[in-house]
Amino acid sequence: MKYMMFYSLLIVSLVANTTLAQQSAIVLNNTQILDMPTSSATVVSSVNKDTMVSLLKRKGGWYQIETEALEVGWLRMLKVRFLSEQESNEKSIAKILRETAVMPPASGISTGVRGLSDEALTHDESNTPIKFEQLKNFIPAEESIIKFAEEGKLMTQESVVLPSD
Amino acid sequence: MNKKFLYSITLLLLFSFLTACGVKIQGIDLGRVFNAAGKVGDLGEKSEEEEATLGKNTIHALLVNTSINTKQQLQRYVNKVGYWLVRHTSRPDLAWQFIVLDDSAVNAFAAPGGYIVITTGMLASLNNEAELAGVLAHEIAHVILRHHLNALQTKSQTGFLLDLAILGTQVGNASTANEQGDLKGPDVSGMFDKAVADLYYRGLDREDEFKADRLGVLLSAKAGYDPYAFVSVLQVIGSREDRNEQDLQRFIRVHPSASTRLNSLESALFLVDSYDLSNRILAQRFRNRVVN
Repeated sequence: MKYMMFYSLLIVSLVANTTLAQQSAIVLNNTQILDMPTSSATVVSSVNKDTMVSLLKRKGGWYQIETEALEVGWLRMLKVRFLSEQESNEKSIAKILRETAVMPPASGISTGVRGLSDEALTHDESNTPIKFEQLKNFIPAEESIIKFAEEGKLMTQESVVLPSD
Repeated sequence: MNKKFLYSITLLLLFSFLTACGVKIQGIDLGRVFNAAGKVGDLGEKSEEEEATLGKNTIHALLVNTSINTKQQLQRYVNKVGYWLVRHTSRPDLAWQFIVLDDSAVNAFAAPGGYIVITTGMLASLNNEAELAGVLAHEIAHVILRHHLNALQTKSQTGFLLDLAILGTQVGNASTANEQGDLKGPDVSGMFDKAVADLYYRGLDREDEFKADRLGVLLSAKAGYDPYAFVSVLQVIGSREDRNEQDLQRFIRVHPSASTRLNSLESALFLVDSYDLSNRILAQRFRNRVVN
């Protein structure tokens, strides 16, 4: 009975960690956690190098993170490295053995792998092959580029200066 | 006398001879090839016309045995994102063409003259339009900075001209020409394809990749996108690098590791942080246009 419970917990945890694997990261060096995504914000806490954290959401160059002690705060994106699936599983199993407790997966962050299948992109009922010469038909007219930008509220950021070639 | 000068003299003499004779090899007018196509040699900076011809030859060689995605809405969408980005570059008037390939491999690449290719495998790994813009901006930066063009020219100095020297000898022996002036000789197109295949197999110099990352991030920001979306793309790829995924092998082979790229991006991100930006992400539009 005791073993059954443990393995149930382990299985539940591994399933949960499929999600967790996409949202976990390692802190690259000792750093402070802030209450807002800005350098001038108040320090909430600090995390040491190699600490595993859950990523909750991103704003600009900042991630909102949650530590194992359930502290929540913000740190710079480049302060963390995403855990590989293998690392995440290894750490999670170690954690289960240590605590025999299952952490709920964090949610709400978009970290790049959203499970959209490649097939979903290639599926097309008409499926008429496109020849190289036909590709020019997809080049947008000037007015449609402007409209496209306006629809997305994309505005040229005049302050950004590109380096010369 | 330096090697480059000797190459140039050899090429000029060869070019004059071929033009005068109107010699063809396997149907290719060599005088014309040398003059217009700019496939070979290092006779100074290429004109935009020459770059366009070289780019077209390159992309044709790269797209052999590939399948262009048939979703017209997707092709149009990717072109719109791309064209919005290139408006903000120093080379908006190139004949830019953005192409979606049906390929589960996570990949994107550029060719001289403004050809940018992205695979459905790469699209499937992205979350939003800002990430797509980041990937396209990196490839656009390669074209703006003429990385592949320069690499092909460098390559031609080290190996391709050697083949031409042999070709010159054979052309000199014009008695083998038939009535139409056609010769049985080395396949110029074949040699060019080999040079292209070699470059795209090995990838560009690491420093070129770092430069394209930095310019790409700034370009995304200038076009109104969240420049940190590209950082997110690299972080996700970094977490997949050790999984030995078949679909990521090509990408890993031709790029420096994600962690070194992220380190090299710090200066550009420091610059980005100094601006007050609009940081558009556009996740819903991306999903609507890519999936539906």
